[in-house]
Amino acid sequence: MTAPSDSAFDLEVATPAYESGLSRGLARFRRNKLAVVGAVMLLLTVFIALLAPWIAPYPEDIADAVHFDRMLQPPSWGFLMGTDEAGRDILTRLMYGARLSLLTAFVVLGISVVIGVPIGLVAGYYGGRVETILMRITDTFSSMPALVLALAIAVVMGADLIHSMIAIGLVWWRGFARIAHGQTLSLKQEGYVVMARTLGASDFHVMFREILPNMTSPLLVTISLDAGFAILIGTAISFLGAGASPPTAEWGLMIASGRHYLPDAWWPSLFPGLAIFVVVLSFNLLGDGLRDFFGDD
Amino acid sequence: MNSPLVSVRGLTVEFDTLDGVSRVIHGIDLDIAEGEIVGLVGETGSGKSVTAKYLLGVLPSPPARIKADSATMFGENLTIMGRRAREDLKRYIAYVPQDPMAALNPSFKVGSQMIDVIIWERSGRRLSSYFVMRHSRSARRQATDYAAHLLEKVKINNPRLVLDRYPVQLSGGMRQRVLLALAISGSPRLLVADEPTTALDVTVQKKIVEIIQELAQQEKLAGLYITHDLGVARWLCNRTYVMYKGRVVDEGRTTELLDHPKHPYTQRLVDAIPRLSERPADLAAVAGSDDAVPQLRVRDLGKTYGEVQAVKSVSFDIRRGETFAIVGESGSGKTTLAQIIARIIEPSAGSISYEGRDITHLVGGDLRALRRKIQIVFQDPGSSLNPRQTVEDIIGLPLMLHGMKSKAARRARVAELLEAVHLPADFMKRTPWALSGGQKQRVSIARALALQPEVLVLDEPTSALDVSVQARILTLLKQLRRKHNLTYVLITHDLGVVRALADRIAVMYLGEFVELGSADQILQAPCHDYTRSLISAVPVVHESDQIVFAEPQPIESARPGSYRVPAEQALAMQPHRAEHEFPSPDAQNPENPEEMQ
Repeated sequence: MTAPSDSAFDLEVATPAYESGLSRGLARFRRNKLAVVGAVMLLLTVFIALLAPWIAPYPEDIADAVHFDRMLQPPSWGFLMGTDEAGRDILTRLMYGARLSLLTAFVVLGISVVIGVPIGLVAGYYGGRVETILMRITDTFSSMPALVLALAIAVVMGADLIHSMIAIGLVWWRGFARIAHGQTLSLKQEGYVVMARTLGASDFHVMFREILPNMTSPLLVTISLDAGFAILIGTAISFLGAGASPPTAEWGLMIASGRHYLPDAWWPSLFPGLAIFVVVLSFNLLGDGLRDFFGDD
Repeated sequence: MNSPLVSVRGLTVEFDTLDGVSRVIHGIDLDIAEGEIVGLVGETGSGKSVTAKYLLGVLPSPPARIKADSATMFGENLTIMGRRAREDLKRYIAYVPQDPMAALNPSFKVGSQMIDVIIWERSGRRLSSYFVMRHSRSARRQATDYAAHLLEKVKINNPRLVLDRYPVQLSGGMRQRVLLALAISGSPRLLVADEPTTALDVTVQKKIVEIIQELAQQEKLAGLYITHDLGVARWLCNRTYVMYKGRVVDEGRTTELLDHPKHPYTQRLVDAIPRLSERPADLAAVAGSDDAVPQLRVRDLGKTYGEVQAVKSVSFDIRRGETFAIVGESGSGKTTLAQIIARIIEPSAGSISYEGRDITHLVGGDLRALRRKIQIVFQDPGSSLNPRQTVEDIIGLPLMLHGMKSKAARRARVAELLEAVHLPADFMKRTPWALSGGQKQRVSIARALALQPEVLVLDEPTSALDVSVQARILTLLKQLRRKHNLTYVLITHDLGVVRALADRIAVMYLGEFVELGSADQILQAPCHDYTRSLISAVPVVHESDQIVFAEPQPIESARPGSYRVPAEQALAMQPHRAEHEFPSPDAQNPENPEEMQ
């Protein structure tokens, strides 16, 4: 039995290891191997999207180029993913399409967070009639299928890619309102919120300085998980003809125009489908990893 | 000494963590003899729970790496034992956890949960026969009878009624009894209890400890009792191990260990606990000035939530510079009262005046001005500091809101305040999670002091802290009181803390003051039965602490705010209450809780 020296009993001075929470979070994140896979694949997607003009084999094929000499050719060394009905290189178009998909995720989630979070925050903070009105509006949006509602809005605004992104954003905020509402309800019971109110802080200060920073973790997780679904809906709307119009290299649109040649030519639809699959999956894996990142050990 | 039931030599436990291997147990020796209750005492992070988990066989490995020179339990060698055989040993070990609510499933009735466990034991812990028996009516009836029998053993007078309740309908003490009954259902030989009474009120704790004592005798149980409370250890445990940072630093017969501590750490622990019997030397004879107008005057204050009267018509005066303690157990309404005084919640009736001015319904700028005078320190420093802000932001907030717009000026003042609570100025840049519990509470106190208030409402300021940290915070509070001539309104359930700080005490029970008087009067010559039971329930750490009540003194003058209830009248008001577990209204029991006794 070894007795530590007397000064070692200064318990209060023994503070918890003062190190950055970031490194612990990263360590937790790294333990989740699938999340690392997701993050790497997403990074790769972002790089491809950014560098598309330089690394794409046939940059002219993104628009309405037509090559009668090489229509619907199966994958080969010249065209790794084959060519479509106008003879355009599918790999090139996928690379450019990644830009549009990532942009969709960005615009949709941007709109959703900007609309949804304040609604949930205000509803949860004030309660009473304000809460009832705001949350019933949210419920109304929730009661309609996202795809149908977004499709309707997109059609009214006129078929265009950016219109479809806005339309999805106008539908998508409801989830963020819900999360912000729930988080606010529990966070406003916290001692520091009561304290700030007691000290006479303004409602704006309490909502945006005390409460909001403490709900960033669940929000970021949701953003990551939802990004995949937003892309999915975006491509679905384009597939249905209310989004991007030909000859834009948009993944949903590519599947739609390729489907006329199924089952003989499978490559014009399969590869864009795979691309959507991979990106959506990556966002989901990343979201799971973020949940670990923000979790406690 | 009887043959050892458990004998462990050189136990070492390491955990693989993100920061590498951390060793939490450094080669400890532990013996438990037949029929002996052994205490394991230590503060947060001492490794006492890990030791218990090792004995229970529930340390997850990996990440835990367990090594022992030798380890025997019930004569079996644990070091070479296979997983299966270790699993078989578990039937001889009973476990009582700290939080009874977390251990009971809220969606099933107590009876159904007990029957599950009993049938599982009866089926020889085999799933196939368990399912057959679970659906046999006679097996279920037998199990129910046995469950009722077990509940009688833990002094539940109406077991059939309790079996038909959901856990939320029972008080904390009742839940812990149910778990004790469950623990002994398989006729175990060793009982491992991990802080089973920490979450309970003292009067309830007393009851549970007595039950454990009796059960151990009746059932010939040996026990390992983990606690941070030296008093409880003295009460219950034949021998005690004192743990510190993964090492056993002291051990011996509990009474000897505490009366004549050998090791400096034990000495410190014993010294850190405020003594009820010891009148603090620094207590002024008459604290507080005798102004004609009291600093705070509370009249007929009440607060109702729907049907529930949390606070019923309370009146008292607080003099400038005194420390006024409001003592009570959970559900007594003391926290509600504190929050009304701090103007966080609105009272339903009555009035408060501050230096003669009615502040009951102040709003807007007047209320803001009042905030400068009355500040509150919350119980849980973990919740009262925003985890996303730095200490500078946290302490600076009241300064900013009350007109100090310059960032540099704020920073200088924050540094000053940190110094006042004995924290280094570079703590400013830390976020709360990089602070220990005691440091967090110091930051809370610094924030409360920021506006130079005159009254500080302290809502259980030390109940979330280890005893040695508590002692330091109490010292700090005394210093600050002297230096800034502060008036304290101290809300607590801990009579030790009251003894250390309070000049006058009000004892609160079910929303009312049952007794009010000077600290000496209340603690040495209590009039009311409830006060007596509260004081007697406090476990004693040192032999010199035994309290002998003096004769209650005659009623003080009829000056409002300092009334005392004479003993005879008090007895008439609360017949035989002291014999019972005082029912706590916070248990969500829609029916009369008394019938559960």
